[in-house]
Order: sequence, then C-alpha cells, then structure tokens
Amino acid sequence: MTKISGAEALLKALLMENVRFVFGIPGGQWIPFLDAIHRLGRKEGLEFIMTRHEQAAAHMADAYSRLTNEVGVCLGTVGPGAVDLVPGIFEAFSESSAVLVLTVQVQSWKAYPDTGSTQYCDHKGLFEPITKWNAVVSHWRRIPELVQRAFRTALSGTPGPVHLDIPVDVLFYEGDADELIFLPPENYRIQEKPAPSPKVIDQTVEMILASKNPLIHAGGAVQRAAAFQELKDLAERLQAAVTTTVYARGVFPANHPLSFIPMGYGAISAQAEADLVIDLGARLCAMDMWGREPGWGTPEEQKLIQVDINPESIGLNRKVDLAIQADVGEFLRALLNQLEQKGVKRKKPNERLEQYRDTENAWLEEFLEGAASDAVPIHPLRPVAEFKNYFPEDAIVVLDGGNSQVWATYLIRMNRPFSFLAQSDSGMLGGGLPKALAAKLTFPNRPVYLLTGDGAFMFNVQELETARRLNLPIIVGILNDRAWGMIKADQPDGRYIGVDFYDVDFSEVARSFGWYGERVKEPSEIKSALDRAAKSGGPALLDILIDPETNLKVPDLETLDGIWLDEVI
Amino acid sequence: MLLGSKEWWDKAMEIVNSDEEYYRLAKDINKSYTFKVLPEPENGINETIIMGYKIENGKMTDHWEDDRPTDFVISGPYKVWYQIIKGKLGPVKAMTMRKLKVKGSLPEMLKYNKATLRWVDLLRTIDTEFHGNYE
Repeated sequence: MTKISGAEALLKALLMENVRFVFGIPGGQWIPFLDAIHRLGRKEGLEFIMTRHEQAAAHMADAYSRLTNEVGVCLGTVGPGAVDLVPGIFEAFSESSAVLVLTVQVQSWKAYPDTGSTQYCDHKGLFEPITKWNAVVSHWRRIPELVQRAFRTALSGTPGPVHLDIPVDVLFYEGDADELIFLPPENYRIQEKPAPSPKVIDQTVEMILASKNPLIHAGGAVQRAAAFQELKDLAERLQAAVTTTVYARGVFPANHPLSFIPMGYGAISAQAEADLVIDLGARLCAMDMWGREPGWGTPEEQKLIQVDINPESIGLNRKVDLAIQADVGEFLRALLNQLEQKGVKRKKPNERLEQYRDTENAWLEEFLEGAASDAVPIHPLRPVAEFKNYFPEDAIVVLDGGNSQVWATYLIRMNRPFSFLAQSDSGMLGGGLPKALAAKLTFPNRPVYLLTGDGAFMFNVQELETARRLNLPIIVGILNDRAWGMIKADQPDGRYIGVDFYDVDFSEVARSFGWYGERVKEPSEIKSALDRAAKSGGPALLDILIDPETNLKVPDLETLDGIWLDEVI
Repeated sequence: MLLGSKEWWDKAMEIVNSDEEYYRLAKDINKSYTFKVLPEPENGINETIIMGYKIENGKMTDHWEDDRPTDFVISGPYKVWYQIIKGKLGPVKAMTMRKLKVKGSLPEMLKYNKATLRWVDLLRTIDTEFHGNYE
C-alpha cells in the first residue's frame, strides 16, 4: 500500500489547484512540506519562493491573486512566523484578495489550549478577524477536504483570504494514500457564476430608459469577472460616463473618451450629476466618498442600481433603488443582450460630459505643470511622469502608499486590466516592493516598476535580497523626501513631531544587495538613469531626491482629509 | 472690520481685484455667489447672515447683503465660516465634510477650485472681526 504524509497530501491538494508559488520563510515544523516541494512539487511546476520577512510573503500572495484571479498561497511557521504574516493578510482582507494562509502549529496534543510550547500562538484566533474563514486541520485525513474548502471559500462571492492551521504531527503523519480523496475543482466548487433574474434585468432597462445622464461605476468585481469587453460595450451602448474605484483602475481604458480619472474632479462631477448610477461591485466606501454628496448626487435625485455578488455589500453606505445579487460579468452579458433585443443604443453622451472633461482638464493642469517641472530639488511629479513615459503600456505599475501614491495615482493612466497594484481600502504602507516582485515572477516578460516613498519602502527593504537572489529585474523609483510626507503635511503650524528621517542613500543600500543603484538629484538625469537601470539587466533602484517642501502640498490631500476625518474635526 | 459688513466687502474687493494671481486663475469666471451664514443662538448669532457677490472676468464687481438668485449658494454654520476665515479649515475640506452645503453646478465649482482657494487666502488677510461670541 502506498503511503502519503500529511505534507505530501497538502502539496498534492495545492497541485490539484495548479498553485504555482508558495511564498514564505521555512521553519523547522515546515521541513516535511518543503521537502515534499523539493521532491515532488517542483517537477509539477510549483516553486517555493523564500522571502526575507513573512509580511512580504503575504503581500506577494496577495499580488499574485490580484494579477491572476487565482488563489495566492503563503506560509509562516509557528508563532513569530505566523504573526509576521498579519500585516500582509490584513491588506489582502481589506482589498478582497483570494489568499490561502498556511501556518504550522505545535503538536495537536499540546495546542488549543496551550501547554507551554515554545513559539505557541493561537493562530486561529489571530487570523479570524482578517480572513473570510479559517480552521485547524485536526487530522491528516481532513487535509484534502479542508484545502478544497479553503479554495472554495477564498474564491466564492467576494474573494478574500482564508487560513489553515496545521499541527506539525498532521504534516508528519503517514497513512494509506487510498484513504485520501483529491478532487479536481469542478467537483467541489461552482463553475457557473450567479446570474441575475430576467426581472431585475427588465427593471434595469426601464431605469436606463428613464435616465438622461447615466454613469457606470466599476469596482474590482469587474476585474474578478474579467468582464472588460462587456463593460466597454455597455458604456458605449449607453454613452455613459465611466468611473472606477482606485482599486479597479485598468478595467476600463483610461484613454477611452467616456473614462474619468478615479477620484478626479471630472469623475466627482460626473458622479455628482448622474441621474442613474450603475454600480458594478463597488461598496461605496471611504475611497468612494461614502457614496454621498457632494461627491455623489442625493438619493432623491440620483437612482442607484447596485450589482454585487455578495448581498452583504448591498446598501452598505447608501440607499439602493435596485439591488442585484449577481456576478458582474453575468449581469453585464444579460443586460447587453436585453438592450440589444430592445434596440436601446444611444448615439452620443449627455452634453454635460463636456463640462466634466473641462473640469478634469482644469484640475489636471497643476499635475501637468509639476510633471514638466525642471525645479531642483525635484518636483515629486517629475519622476512620476518620467517613469510613466519610459515604460510601455503593458508594464505592470505598482504604487506603495502615502504621498507618492497620491502624486502618482492621478498622473499615471491605466489602459489595461491586470496591470495596476496599489492599496486602497487598507491604506497599507510597505507592500510595494514585494508586490512588484510577485508581479515579475508571475509575468516575467512584462516590465514591472514600483513608485514608492522612502518611508513606505523601508517597511520591506529586506526584500532587495529576494529580488537579487531570484534575479527579478524590476525598476524601483523612490520619491525620497526623508520624511513621512503625508503625516508631516497635516501637522499644524510647522510643529513637526515624529516625521523626519536620517538621509539614507538608498542607491548605496541597493548596491550592497547586488542591485543597480543610483541617486538622482536633477530632473534632467531621471531619463538617462532609467536607461542605465534598464541596461543593467537586473533589479535596479533610483533614489530620487524630491523637494520635501513641495511634497507637503499634495493636491487634494484636503479632500482626503475631509473623508478620513469626517465628523471629527 | 466686521465679517460681511460693507466695509469688509469693500476691502475684499480691493484686495481681490488687485491680486494678479487671483486674476490669472479666475479670468474666465463669470458667476454670482450667495453665502448663507446660519444662526448659532448659543454663540450670540441669532439670525442668518446673507452675503452675495459677483465675479466678472476674474474681478469682483459687486456685493450685496440680501437674498438674490445666484449661480451658487453656499451655506453653513457661523463656526464653519469663522474657521475658514481664520485659516483653521480649508474650504474644500469643509465642502467634502458637508460642513458647507453647496447648491449650484459642482463641476463648475470644482473647475475653479484653485481660484476659490486663492480667493479665500486673500480674505484671510483682512483684519476681520466676528459676531457674537466669536469676537
């Protein structure tokens, strides 16, 4: 009789789901699993990607999931290793990313509750608030079933992270292979996604016919449904303005005449004046200005159709006129079919769109001025513009948080899906470098670049070693203001506290890790530095000294403050 | 000069109309505005204070103290106006936080956002006296 260990069973269950990467740091308890990857996993196309901090492993799994609509997998060893995953899993949870977190636990007879084991931690309790579902794998026999359940839950409805805690004895245990049943995905999770009823499609058509100025607001659900062409078809059929959440940038081409920059003044104008909003999977949270005036119309004057696969997201922050539980792709296909049958097709957009574009262009002027600035120290928008212009359209753009994201997010336009990685609801700092590395691993033939602040970059600076070891030729631009710029900007009357850094030369740091590194002080040097970085053939970093004073004046920080500090100040 | 008094508005017109930066930002603006400062009896502000003004081609050409139809009506409690004039609250933040309510075309208001910010900056240079307990 063939024997199979718990570690081998775990590997086999992951291979059934075509997992390509497991991100993490090994620990003594994980040795049988890593050995199984070495002996059996690699030849099946599964690689273990060692990071230098578990947080980075979690961010990489998150990024992999967002770029592929598949489940990203990461692991941490008992206690500290598991705890270190938390920041990255928090972001995956906030951003609705399908991630499987694997932790190994001390022996089952010593855990839950603790009996005094070194490194023991209640992993289940730890991950419960930041996962959709989690469980302790109490027996070797349950491994395939619980891995299947984890994948089903991670990918069902609104995706999210799930967690399995596996006692070390379960991994080491060997039993008869015949006793375990490994099913292909079609035998344990739905293949057809939920479609809307004909009734709600008819109601949608009626509301469209009654509307003079409709708007489509697209969330990450469009990316998860890969319904890009359907969204474009609907927008063009209705001649409706299209806005997206910050997360969903790229699901609708930014260069399309109906597209408005997320959170930009054109988008806000369109959102405020539309008489009908078709919301495709956006929950209308903080980064959508809570779905209320002045950023949106009043519920009395603006009808809202909200489509979401998760009924708990319906009406979360605003009254809904028509609630539809459905996969966004299924909804769009059914609606397009009905509109075609009824001959609904508009020839031109509402004339107000010209005003919205006019407003957007006026608002963008300041950004374009900054982008062209020859000032020394360097205006923060100049490197953003140089990076944007340097890379081809199929590049994957990664932004970390803070002021660098605010500068970059409005200037960089995304025309393609699966090309943009940033945080929105989580407001996380530090995930940029790991995400960029995951992007390069996932799509080795696509250029990948990261724009980050120096504060955010330091959270996971150790991953410079990961990039060098794996030879991942990404290019990083640090907008270095030697401070926590966003927080400093808000501190009153120059009474700065806890926001200024020592001037670290990140180009030297990068070189010590085997990267190409260059410090850039003049705007005219950025392009040639990018050339040298690209020619280096390996990972490269430009440490760009930006004007710390200008960095305190990020456009629209006041608007963001107004959202974040709502009803407080 | 008391906020909203004729003297105060005259000073505002003088400052605004002599500012080149404001003119650069506002030269395409031809709009009229009403400010409604809502009462706060607990702070000695017992009646709504109404102020209106007009911008033509980037210049303030008129102001008044009665309720006329205008392109924009911006209303909020006295405290909010006080905080804005004192530089403790930005006008955009006040609108985003719904401390100020705006009636009128939001796209046009946003289009000239920078002019509005400059205009408020200029008002902040006036030696302003306030009503009620805000004196």
